[in-house]
Amino acid sequence: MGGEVTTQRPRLAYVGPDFHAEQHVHPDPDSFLRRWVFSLDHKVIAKQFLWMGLAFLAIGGTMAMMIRWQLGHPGTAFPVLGELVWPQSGGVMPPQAYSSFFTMHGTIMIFFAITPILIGAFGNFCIPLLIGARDMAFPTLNMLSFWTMFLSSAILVGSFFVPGGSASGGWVSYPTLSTLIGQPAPGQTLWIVAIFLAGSSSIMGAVNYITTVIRLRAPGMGYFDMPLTVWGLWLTAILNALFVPVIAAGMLLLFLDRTFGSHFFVAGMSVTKGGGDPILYQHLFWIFGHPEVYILILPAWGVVSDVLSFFSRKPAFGYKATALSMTAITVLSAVVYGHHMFVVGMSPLLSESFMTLTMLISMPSAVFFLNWLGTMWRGSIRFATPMLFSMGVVFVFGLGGLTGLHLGSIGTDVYLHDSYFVVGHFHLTMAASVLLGAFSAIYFWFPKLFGKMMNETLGKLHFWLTIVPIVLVFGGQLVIGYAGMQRRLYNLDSYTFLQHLQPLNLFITRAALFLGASQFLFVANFLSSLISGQKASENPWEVGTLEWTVPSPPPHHNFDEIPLVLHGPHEFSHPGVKGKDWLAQNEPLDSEPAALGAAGS
Amino acid sequence: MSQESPLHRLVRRGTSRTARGLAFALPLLMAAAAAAGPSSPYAPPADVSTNGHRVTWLFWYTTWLGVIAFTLVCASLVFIVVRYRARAGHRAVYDKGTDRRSLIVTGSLALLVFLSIDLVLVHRSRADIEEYLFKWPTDPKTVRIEVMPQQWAWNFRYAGADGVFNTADDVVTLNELRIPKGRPVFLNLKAKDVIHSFYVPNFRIKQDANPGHVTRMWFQATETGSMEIACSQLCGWAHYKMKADLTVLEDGDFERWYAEAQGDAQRRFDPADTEAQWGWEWVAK
Repeated sequence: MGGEVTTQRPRLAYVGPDFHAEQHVHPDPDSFLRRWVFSLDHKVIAKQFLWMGLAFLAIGGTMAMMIRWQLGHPGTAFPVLGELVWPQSGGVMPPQAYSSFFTMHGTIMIFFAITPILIGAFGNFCIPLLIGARDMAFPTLNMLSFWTMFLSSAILVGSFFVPGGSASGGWVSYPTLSTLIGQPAPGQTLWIVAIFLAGSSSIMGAVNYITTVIRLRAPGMGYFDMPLTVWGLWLTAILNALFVPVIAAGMLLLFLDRTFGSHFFVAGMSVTKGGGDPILYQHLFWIFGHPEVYILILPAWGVVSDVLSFFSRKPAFGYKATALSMTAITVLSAVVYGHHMFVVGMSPLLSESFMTLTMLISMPSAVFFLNWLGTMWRGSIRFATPMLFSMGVVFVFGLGGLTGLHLGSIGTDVYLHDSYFVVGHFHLTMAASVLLGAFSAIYFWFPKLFGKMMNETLGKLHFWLTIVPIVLVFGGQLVIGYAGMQRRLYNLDSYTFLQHLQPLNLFITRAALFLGASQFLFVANFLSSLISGQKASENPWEVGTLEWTVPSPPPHHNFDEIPLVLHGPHEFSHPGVKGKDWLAQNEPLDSEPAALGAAGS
Repeated sequence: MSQESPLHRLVRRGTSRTARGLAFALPLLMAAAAAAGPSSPYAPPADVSTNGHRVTWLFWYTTWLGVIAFTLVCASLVFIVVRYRARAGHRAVYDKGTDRRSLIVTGSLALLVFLSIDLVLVHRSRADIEEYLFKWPTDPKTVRIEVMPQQWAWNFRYAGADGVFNTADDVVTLNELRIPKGRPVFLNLKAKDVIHSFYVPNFRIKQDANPGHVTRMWFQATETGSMEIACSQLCGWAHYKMKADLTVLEDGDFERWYAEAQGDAQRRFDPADTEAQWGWEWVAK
């Protein structure tokens, strides 16, 4: 062996359990329905999730524009669309519609845009390809997961058209506002059914992802040889499997309260005797709801950790520490949910415990954040579009993470709770960071997904025209929140102390419209590249993870032969490699003997 | 690298632009932090409470340490972008950051963040809980008020001379709360229909009012004047209109008004009007 640096395991032949041998090569399906609609192929299901997520991203984004329009230009008609949606008020959004829109904006973005794109699309596409498997462990369950989600989204969209309109109790839908006391219309019931079904879809996906990662890793691939993207997706799946059932229970009880007259969450003057406890719902909601924000961000963190290494041409700095930090955060995320409830009237003992546990998250966060910087440090950075978006995540998540400190401590949360400071904070973390991570993933894997390259110039323009307004919009929301403005206000007319904030609201609105408009660059790039993009080679980014060792797009069965993994995912600039600066995970080093006993298929 | 693809060339050309963009972001950020500063037009309404300064102090402590940490992150990003951009003759260092030195540096920086920011927040918040937020007033001059919000109005009830709530001498007001300056005001809150939240920006405090069980809060005003009580929890489509007026009076003025209002209340009391009779046994501890 030449040199002191060695990455290859001393034992080259894989001696572990022989799971990979169970993966047969199936012939491509030949009917249109089996191939494109009810497909069992994880790559097709990934694309189905991607299209669905992007469509809902457009819907949820348009709703955000309308919400911002009302705040920036209160009482004026939203251009063009306003007249179509609210002809009776001359195109002006009425206050009832405003509640319904911010409720559905949150619901759509979280459950029907980010979840399908990052978890549905990239979870499906990446997990088997990056771990060297032919498909998911349970392909039929995978298909069922998508179609359950599809049904759920159909119900959610349908809820706009029932008498009384869609749900309007906020994305958290706290009772008693979400019971018949506050929401007699059927839209809220349909919302509950849709969330329950979306949750079922997530659980199906989660069971599949967890099993696939545990059982179908290619021979030689230990847990610490997996790309960090897979780590992120796997931890997300574990959180989904553990905590989605909790919100499903909450939804079920709320459904019973609305439909069968039970009183799990009903209390107050409308209850003559006994009665339940609306706070119980908040516990159920946030037991799920706090892990949910990590469910959304973990895949993005994983992608960013990989992409930073890929384009810095340098191994991920402290790989194991990053993976373990992500795991530590996953564990902690389960025991901090009470910080959403500091002003509910909880026992101070509970509040203090939740606060202290929340603060502990800073340490693992700081570790992987520093590891991100360490990865780029002394690298040779190529500023391709996926890299720019990942660096954008570092920037935006820094802002979002630090503003979380104000909300995690009771002393400041008593003032900032339910203000725009909260809105700014969670948009920076679970919206902006996650979406920038999703864009990074789309620009990075587009060649593998569709066999075409996206346009780099448009991509970079998209990045700059996205990151600048993101900071202005959500930074502006932080400022206006500290100034005292509450969330979910239709206008500022009632309050004297908010009057001077109208110009700032207008500024935020303009930045938001700018942000919305620049997304057309992405749409144009995505569609035109899909049709007439330059043909992608097998490995256009010159990286070593397994998906780049097969053609773009990969064949139905992914790998002709299941690869034998010899290295970790980030072997860049290895001194033992000549003529290039990367090494595929299954590629033997020149200076070392060829892999012994390569696994068959 | 032996050969450079057209893609890399394009990427390389974009580098200096990236660096300039990041360098531009820094002053922008500092400006944003300053935009919320105490003397800016975006400062919150004047703090006129005995304990509001605790929130202000902790907010700015967290903010400035955050700004310092984030500035360091941005500075390293700019440095990295300029110094380690891909270019001819430059090659990345094969370093996995697993040596002892890297681990110590990363670990101690993480610990530094935890000790300097998180532990201070925990410490100060615990003090806030023990010395203020949950330290219910025992001063005999404490003004006790029951608050029952509903869609979309605030009902306030003072116990009157007998000190018992839901009796004939109770002073009941709608969307108008009068309190004396310099005396603790102790509230019991319970919502009639859906969850509301009692928020007084001038006192830097809020507390949810839930249907079904009583929550508590207290504050003490340091100045007289007119202020606003806002609802900060979504409570239906007219949430944005759910405001009450708060008037802080000199103690003498308050007592004069309170005595007069009790007389009015007793005269107007109608035992048959059950709608108007609400209230609960006072929850102090």
